[in-house]
Amino acid sequence: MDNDNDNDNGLIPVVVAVVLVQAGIALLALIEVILVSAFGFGQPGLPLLATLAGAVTMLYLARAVRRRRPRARRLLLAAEVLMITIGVASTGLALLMTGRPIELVPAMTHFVMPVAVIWLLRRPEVRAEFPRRRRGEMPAPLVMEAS
Amino acid sequence: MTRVLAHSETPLTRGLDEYIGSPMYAVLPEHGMALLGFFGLLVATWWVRRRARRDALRPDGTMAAWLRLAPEHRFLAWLLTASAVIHLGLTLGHEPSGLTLLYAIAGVAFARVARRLVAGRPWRRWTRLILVGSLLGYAVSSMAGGSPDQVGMSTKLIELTALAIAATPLRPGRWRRLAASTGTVLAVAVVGIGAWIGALGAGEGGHHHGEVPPPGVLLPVGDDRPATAQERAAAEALHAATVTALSRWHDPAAAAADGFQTDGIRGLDFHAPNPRFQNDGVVLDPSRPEHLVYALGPDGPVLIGAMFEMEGIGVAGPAVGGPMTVWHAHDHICVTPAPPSIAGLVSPYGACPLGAIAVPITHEMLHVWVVPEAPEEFGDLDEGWLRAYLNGELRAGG
Repeated sequence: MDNDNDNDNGLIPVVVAVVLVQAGIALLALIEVILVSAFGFGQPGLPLLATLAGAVTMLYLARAVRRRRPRARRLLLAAEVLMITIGVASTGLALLMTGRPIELVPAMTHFVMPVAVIWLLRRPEVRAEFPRRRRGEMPAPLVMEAS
Repeated sequence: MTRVLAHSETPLTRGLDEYIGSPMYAVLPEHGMALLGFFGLLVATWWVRRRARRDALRPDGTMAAWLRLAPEHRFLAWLLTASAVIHLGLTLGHEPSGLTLLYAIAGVAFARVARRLVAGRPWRRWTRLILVGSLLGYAVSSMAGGSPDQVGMSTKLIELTALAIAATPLRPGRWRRLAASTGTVLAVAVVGIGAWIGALGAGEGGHHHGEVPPPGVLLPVGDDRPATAQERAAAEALHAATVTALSRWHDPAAAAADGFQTDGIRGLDFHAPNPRFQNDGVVLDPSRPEHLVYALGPDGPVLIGAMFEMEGIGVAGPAVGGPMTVWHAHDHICVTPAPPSIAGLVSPYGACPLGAIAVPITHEMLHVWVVPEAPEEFGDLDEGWLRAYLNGELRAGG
């Protein structure tokens, strides 16, 4: 049956899907910075490195969340909070300068998607999928995935 | 057209409605019904969940079946339904045409695969096919001249998320997962690149736009009319005064001595600001331009013009030459705070590069070009001509 999915159940696939889209958005921003710097505008150093790091981090987090890595949940929460913070700053600036909030798509990118991920990650059934490692505890042995 | 651009003794102020910008950052009127339908779906979802909590749904009904699905499939069915509603809304908002028919077909197709998913019938192959078709169709139509707007791009975000879920492999396997993840990320990039191309190409007119500025540029609403003799004379006087005043800053070192920030000149339009002139309360004074513009040629920096800048957001520049001297502003630019620098424009997905913040609007500005024989004296300078000038091709040819 198409609705049976024996390797990924619950809400984790939804989190992974949203994070993959966020990684794609970061990749497009990276392409833009590269093009902007190629045409000689601005000083691309910081945004180039930061966007590259952002895109790689989101790709890594999508993989780590899918594999239920212990720290992935907290790292992803921090990344989403950062995205909301950028959204709050952009909205504040837009309200201050134009008297209008940001548009629909930026609102989805900076608020709806991160809030959805945070909401899903904070649900008990998702929390339960990420084992908490105590201080001094050895990491769980790696289990090879069936291919 | 609502306003005649003219010189004014008292500064005019302009609201956002008095500018024309790229449709990429707006909701097109034809897409209002689709947006309304989407918000209607949100309300309907809330209502269904409320009824479910009260046990008021028919146990054998579609809504109850939807709520019994696995969470990811429930979410996917909702995303597909959202896309169906938006496409059907687009059908209602447009005049009958081939494109409208495609919207209707896409709306029905999305509704049918959502129904199959809820009914427990095979859905994966059809869903992937329809999603990829819709996303590719959008990218291709954008590249063919249709500028994206906020409704179009939010629909694509919904569909891309749906694709990411639908592409999750049914059976485990590292390579299958890698292919699915890579495909999703690439799909986001391809749709985004298509949207960029569409938005940049919409300046030449396209899918219900006519002529609009490229993304990041705001032009005041004005009359499309020739300049009067008085305006022409005023524009020529301004240009001549600027050429004379700027002659002392051909050497960037001389400009730096007068307070212009000329460090790191590169590219074809390096703007060197003068913070002293930016905040002196004087506007459009050729002897106190807010920016000098240099281009880096094979023999070093070449002074190509000046940029005058207003003080204050929405304060209209004095269009002394009428339609010859139209001031412009910028919108949705991404700026890094340290060092203050432009990092790009807000992308079709509404994001800036990391470390940059979106600035919604800038002061108004006007470029005056002082390069001999330049095809334009104000506004945009043709890049091809400038390259040829810098390379000495024009001078050699006479």
